[in-house]
Amino acid sequence: MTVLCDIRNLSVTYHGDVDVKAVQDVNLTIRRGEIFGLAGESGCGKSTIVLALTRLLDRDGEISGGEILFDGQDLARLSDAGMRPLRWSKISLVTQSAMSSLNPVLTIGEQICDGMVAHGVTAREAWSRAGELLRLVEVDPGRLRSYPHELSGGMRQRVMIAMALALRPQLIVMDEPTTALDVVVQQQIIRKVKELQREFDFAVLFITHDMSLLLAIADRIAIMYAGEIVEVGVAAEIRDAPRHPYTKGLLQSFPSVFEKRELIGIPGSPPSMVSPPTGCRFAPRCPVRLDECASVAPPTVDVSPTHRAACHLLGEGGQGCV
Amino acid sequence: MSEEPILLEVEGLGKVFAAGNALNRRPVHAVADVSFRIARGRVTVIVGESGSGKSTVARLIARLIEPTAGVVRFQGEAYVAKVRRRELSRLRRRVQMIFQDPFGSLNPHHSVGYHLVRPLKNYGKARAGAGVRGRVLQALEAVGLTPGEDYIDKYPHELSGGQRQRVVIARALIVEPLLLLADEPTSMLDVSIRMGILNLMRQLRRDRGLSFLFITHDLASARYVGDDLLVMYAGQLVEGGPADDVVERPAHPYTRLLLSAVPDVVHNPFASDRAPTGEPPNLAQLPTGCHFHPRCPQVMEVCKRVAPRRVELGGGHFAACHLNDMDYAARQDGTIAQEAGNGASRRKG
Repeated sequence: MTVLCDIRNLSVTYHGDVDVKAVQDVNLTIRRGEIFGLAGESGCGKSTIVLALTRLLDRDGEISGGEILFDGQDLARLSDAGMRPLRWSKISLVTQSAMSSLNPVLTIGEQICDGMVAHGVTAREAWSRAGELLRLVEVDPGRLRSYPHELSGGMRQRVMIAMALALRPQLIVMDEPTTALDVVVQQQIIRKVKELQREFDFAVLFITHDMSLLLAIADRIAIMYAGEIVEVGVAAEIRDAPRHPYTKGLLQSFPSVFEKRELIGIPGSPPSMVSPPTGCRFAPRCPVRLDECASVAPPTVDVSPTHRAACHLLGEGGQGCV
Repeated sequence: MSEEPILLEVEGLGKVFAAGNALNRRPVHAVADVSFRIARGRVTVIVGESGSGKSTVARLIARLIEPTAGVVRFQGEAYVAKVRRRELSRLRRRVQMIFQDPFGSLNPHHSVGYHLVRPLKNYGKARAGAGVRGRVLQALEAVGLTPGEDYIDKYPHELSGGQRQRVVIARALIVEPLLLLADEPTSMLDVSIRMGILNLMRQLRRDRGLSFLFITHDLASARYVGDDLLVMYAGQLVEGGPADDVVERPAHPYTRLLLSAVPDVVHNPFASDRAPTGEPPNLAQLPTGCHFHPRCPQVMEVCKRVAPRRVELGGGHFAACHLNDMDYAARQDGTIAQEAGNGASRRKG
């Protein structure tokens, strides 16, 4: 699979009374047609990566370093005007709360058409395509004239996905798209996304804190902690052979319905991003830390051709926390 | 469900909310005919989707809202529709509740110590004066905030989400209740913190014999802490019993649907071909018969007209589904067939 989006040494800083570096030297590649999962807890910077990639950072947020190579262009350096033609047509975004992503005073149809018309599709053509799109996500096309409040949460999220698909983008960014939904609805939506993905061959950047969901749907997974990527690998590698103590702790934080086992979670809380710990940022909470962890940032080590992690235990032929 | 004495008994509990306006009244049947028991020292979990009525059940037991039907018995004492203030105070000393949002549950203007002393004063247990500080410190340490001195003078904004939820639990524990009603206590916490709170619940059960009614939408957490599991759908209990039985031998199609949808480290819900359909019903317009029938993959003719009875399956496991009660279903179905036969067209089968 060829690379669609290559994020290199990306750093994002929020300016305020104190500057906060929410994302620090992040390297990620998203390949065509894959589901790439990005997991981490609240405040770890995963949503900031989404905002940088879609260039939706507000005035306080700034891409302070690195590049985002997408389809031959560096998105990090594009102007707003340069970014506009890419939105919806190359990259689209589905967020957690469809409730607040949809405009309550416009009908579903008007909102689906809006993006298409902005990209030069005629109104008549857009309306008929909107009907087809709803059919794709299994919402009755008669709903085009409904307002968002007349739809259930699951249906609103389907509408968002229909909208995201309208111009056949290469990448759909999904930021916690099913977190607000019940498990049964979540399953329906995820199945739909996978089915549509097989049909239209777009890539998905899927952001969530739910490791059990990610392990079930993602091809590859990156784990983020305190603004940094600590581990990346194929989903099975992350599940069966996590090498970073944080990944291990995260996997140990999800009980299973079908298997009764003792879980410990991770002691402590994530650090403040105003003054992150020196050295390895996970060191204060790490159960297997070494002396150097508190002072020296760990290098990123290739564990396999598809799997890398940043931990001192992996240095010089070490096996990490197995 | 166990040999332990029964602490809480809920019988035929119901709540109808009046919605709509004077011209267009639409009663919302939030909870209907819910009955279950909680034995001492056990963790009972109610699972269900949003709108299933699971939080309403907890609120009805804590008397934050008045039930429209049914009885709640706590240690044999019945609390029927109208409860006097004194009775209510007696109940609340023994039944405490913790909520989902640890941010909204603490007053930002008051210290941790203040929050913990208040319930002691409210329930007349703070007369000893000097003993109060000791009890507050003890409660903080019981929930893992050690040493207590470090936390007693802190304000809520100085604590993390997990620490706040621990303070909320300490506040509930300080009046030495027998039952803790926990309404989604972990769903707003970060995943790495969540396990700490779930383990704390297990530890309090083990060390103090505290009973819990834990309300959650997360089946995995339910299995992790729960001794007994109750499954709610559209305001009713559809299945219940020892957690292992319910998860390993689910008897209601809705329980099977829920279990099949849970993403899990050992089970991939997206691997099978069968996709679930439909959404939970509108509580103001409930389907006739079994409320689950429009979505049920095994629906029969009788399900559309006759509500299923609760059937005991042994070992405290029960389910309300005609599939487990075929004799009754056949009799009811026969009656339906006869009625249909009396009409113009005759039904076959």
